[in-house]
Amino acid sequence: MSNTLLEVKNLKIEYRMKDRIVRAVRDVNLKINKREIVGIVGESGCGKTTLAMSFLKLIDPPGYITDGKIIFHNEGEIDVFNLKPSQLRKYRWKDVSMIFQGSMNALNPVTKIEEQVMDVMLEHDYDYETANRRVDELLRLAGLNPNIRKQFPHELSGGMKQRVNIALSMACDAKLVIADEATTALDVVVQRQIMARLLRLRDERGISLVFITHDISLIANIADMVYVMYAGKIVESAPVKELFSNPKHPYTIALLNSVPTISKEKKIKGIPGMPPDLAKEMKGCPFADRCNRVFDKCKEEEPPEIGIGSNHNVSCHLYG
Amino acid sequence: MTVDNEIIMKMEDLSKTFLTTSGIIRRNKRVVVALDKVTLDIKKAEILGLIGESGSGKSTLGLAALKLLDIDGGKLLYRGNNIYDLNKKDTMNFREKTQMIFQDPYGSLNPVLSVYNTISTPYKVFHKNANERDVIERVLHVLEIVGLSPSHQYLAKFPNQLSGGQRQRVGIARAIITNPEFLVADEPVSMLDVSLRADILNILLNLRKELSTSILFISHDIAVTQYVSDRIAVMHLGQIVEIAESTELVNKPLHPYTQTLINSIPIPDPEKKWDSTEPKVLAGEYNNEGKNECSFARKCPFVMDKCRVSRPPLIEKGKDHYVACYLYE
Repeated sequence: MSNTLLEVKNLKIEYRMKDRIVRAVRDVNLKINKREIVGIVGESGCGKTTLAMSFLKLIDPPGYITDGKIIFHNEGEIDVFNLKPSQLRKYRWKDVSMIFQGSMNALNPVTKIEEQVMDVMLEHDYDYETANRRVDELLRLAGLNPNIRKQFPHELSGGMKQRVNIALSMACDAKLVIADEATTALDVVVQRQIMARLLRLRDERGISLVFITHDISLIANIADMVYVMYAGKIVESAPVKELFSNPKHPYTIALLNSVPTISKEKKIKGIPGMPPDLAKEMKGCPFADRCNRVFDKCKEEEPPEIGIGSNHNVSCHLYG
Repeated sequence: MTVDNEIIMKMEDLSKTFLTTSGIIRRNKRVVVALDKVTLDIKKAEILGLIGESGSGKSTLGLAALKLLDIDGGKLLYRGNNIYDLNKKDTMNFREKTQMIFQDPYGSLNPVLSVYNTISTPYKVFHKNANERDVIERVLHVLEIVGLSPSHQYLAKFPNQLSGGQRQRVGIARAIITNPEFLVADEPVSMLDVSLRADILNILLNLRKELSTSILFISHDIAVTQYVSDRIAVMHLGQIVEIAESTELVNKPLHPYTQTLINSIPIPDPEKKWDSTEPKVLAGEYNNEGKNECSFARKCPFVMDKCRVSRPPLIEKGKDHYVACYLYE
């Protein structure tokens, strides 16, 4: 039995606006193994949220999936984009669940916590009794006191609401949880607590996690495998230790040099210029304009993905 | 970097309480103590970092330091004068010498004002007789300082033609055109992409170096704060719980709250990967109603009886390292 849980193959997603087409995801390939924590890191507007949404086929017009597929491996292969609406309803939350960006606002303000948690389970073949019983268990799992089940979202703090979302994402024993900037708005101590909780869930239940964030330091602390995304493409991917000790793509290197760290004194440097406009036709490497090692070929030809070590891929002409 | 020992801003027992009401007939009153007897001083050419979680009163302190809100008690001495006692003329003088850099580069610029108008307005307020040519010279000069170069290309632009990083630079240019001695930078990089943050931080470091500006740098990001600051003050529920030189604070935090905070910061080093142990804090709820207890007592893993009935004062523990905790008495 293979160890792969989910595969993204040649995925392309675009937003068709009135006057332009924004190519948010341009040919992305990635693989998530069982029990693995995958980090996807990139700046705002690089397409990382669009990519996350596609795992659950949550792309609605004007967004269109124009090419590629997502295969979920679980007792056979599931082609996510070809599921019937009824199958998709089962797939969502039971196989793959999501903790949304700004999920502090993802709860319904007028229903009690217990109703929201039960709602998810009742939709997925749990009977009322079991669902009712499981609420306590799930809240405890997320590090909450079960007493809050009778409360409304506004009575909880930001960190607690985030934990309710974690409880929700675990409600149907999903095998893969996608966390999209799940802790960005929280204080560091609360972030640390929530991370610890997610790591424990991985250890105890063997789930896989996809962690999408712009915070490369956070990725270093939790991920096993890292994908660096830039202008809708994966520009580098490697196991976490390899990526931080031996970064290859000039963008990854620049990104690592732009974050201050408390452990060592170093001069940090920003990356000049701006990410390219995804609505424009792109020629050559998307990073060419900001790259300090750019040469003629970069402006002409888009670099292919090159394998340069076990599990370490980079899309850059320097290594071609 | 050398920091003069001349103190330009001295806060003594600054207090501010907000009263919030809720309910249909506004009968549920709640007291929120945002500043609880804060005493702090900022030296000439010093960058003082102020960290703490949201709701700890950091921004209120920033506003109070610029006389942008009324305080309930305490003194704020700028060059020896209590700014809350200044007359109108002296207040104007104080306004010229103190400026603010805001968090949101999108919300803090007026969309219908060009870069030139945005930056020149504060200058014209304080130099009513300045001729237009001098003003343009001055604006070009500050644009160069903040790295918007060639500067003349930016004069006629409007905020919607600029990126987030460029807007933040315009915000800094506007703040420094009056040649202030003291700046409050409230979360100046938190809304920028990581790749743009470094440049803004380096501009602030440069201002201090070239113009000897003192800066109160407010942030919740400790790594960023340590990068720019000489000293860091840690704020918790309206109180300063620890102050020390930046590296000392990060490497040898004394207050249990600071320790929890430092241990929770992600470090970009996979060798120090996190495990599933949660940080040691008790599950209590804070109270910021100004009760007479240590602000961290309800969550502190080392809490003693004493902590619940009286408030620990800031005491010196090591050179220039102050902590408010009974563990160190």
